[in-house]
Amino acid sequence: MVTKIKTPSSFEAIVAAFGLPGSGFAGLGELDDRDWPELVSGVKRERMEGLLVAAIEGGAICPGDSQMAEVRELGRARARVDLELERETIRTVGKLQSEGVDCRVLKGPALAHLVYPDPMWRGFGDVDLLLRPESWYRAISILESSGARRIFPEVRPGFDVRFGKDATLSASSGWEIDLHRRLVLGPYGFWARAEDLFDHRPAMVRLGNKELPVLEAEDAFMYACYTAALADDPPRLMALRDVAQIAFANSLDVDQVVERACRWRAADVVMRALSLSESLLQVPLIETEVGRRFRRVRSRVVHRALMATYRGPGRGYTSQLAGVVALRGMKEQLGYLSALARPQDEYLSARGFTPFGFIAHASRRIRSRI
Amino acid sequence: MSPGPLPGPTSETMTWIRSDDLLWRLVLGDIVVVAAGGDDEPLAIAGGTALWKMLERPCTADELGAGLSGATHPAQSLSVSLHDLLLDLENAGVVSRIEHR
Repeated sequence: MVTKIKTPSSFEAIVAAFGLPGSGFAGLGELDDRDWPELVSGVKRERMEGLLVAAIEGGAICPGDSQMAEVRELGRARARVDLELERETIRTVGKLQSEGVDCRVLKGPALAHLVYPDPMWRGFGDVDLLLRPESWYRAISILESSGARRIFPEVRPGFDVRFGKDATLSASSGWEIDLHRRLVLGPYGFWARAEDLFDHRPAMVRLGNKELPVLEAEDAFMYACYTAALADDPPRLMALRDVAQIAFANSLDVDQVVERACRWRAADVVMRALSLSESLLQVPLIETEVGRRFRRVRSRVVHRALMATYRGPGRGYTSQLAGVVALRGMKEQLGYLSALARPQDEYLSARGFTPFGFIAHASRRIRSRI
Repeated sequence: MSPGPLPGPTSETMTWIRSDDLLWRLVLGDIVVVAAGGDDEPLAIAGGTALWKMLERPCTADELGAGLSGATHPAQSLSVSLHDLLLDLENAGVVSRIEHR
């Protein structure tokens, strides 16, 4: 598996790969006062303070006394944030469930308790919930009635459910709640029918004395792959770690993963996620069962082209434009393109754009990648 | 100065346990960061991991004191600080007491 990518700092990658089997990284040992701030800044950016703590406990990094004091404070601060977010997750899920709205907890709190040996290893920055399309607006209304505020309005009335990916709300506690309608922007978001994820029973994780519904392992793996391969450029190390963490657990029903990847036209996405994780974390994912199965996938030109729309400074626009290929029928395609080109005024003003300024900004971002 | 008896039943008829709605993390093996069910900021309990592990199951104050006294603490200072600590943790919603009749 060979992938051309921007390389993050090797310090961060060493922390991100800590504890994975067969990592090609040697330990860092002691870091001098020039390298240490770079490590700390990368670790904070990626919310990997818990993995840094674990790497130190495991002897992969040997900080000096003053550095150790900093690590204690970093670990304590990370734990505080994660616990506050878990509390917000419990509150939010409780509000929705009490009104009969089904949801799935995604990303941080779900993965921290489902696949990591210690939840401290998986930091997070907000609350992420997946909703059924039919309860989308009701869920927003329930949360708004309890003091949350949607940060940006819909692109156009009805856009969220027809074409949208997510909506961010600011809770009365100040924490952000990301409600997800789809797993990812663009064509792969349309092909991966998020409503399918509610067809089977969820896995459950226990937070305090509450059981919360999360994606089962195969769905969680697919979602981790979308996030690692498509959501950010360069990819976030924590997202790559999620892919590796689940793959190395070897508890996946790989036939089910292959079935989803085929149904959602995402085999290339899974392959890219595995490839990025393997090369940036220097771990032999090819030796995992899922790695062996996807090694046989022959990358297709059309998917390479589509995945390229998720990279570069204009990726938010280019991947959304590429989404038109996944929509069926001229009416859907025109409705989608028209909404993207001419959002409603409330949306534009919330983002600080005039209609002309929005088009000019989008054009500049799109051209900057060509 | 002696802290005096814990309020209510005697220590032999009362056990302490972690509250069941807690969220917590262990940092560097010796700091427990814990959030109770309310809205208060999470607490950090430095050096409290042995106590934390014991409180997974109901323990009397005497059992906790005996379990913790092995290492560095003189018995008297331990019982004073343990008394205060348990009351502080109870006020913060982190531990509960169970009265046995």
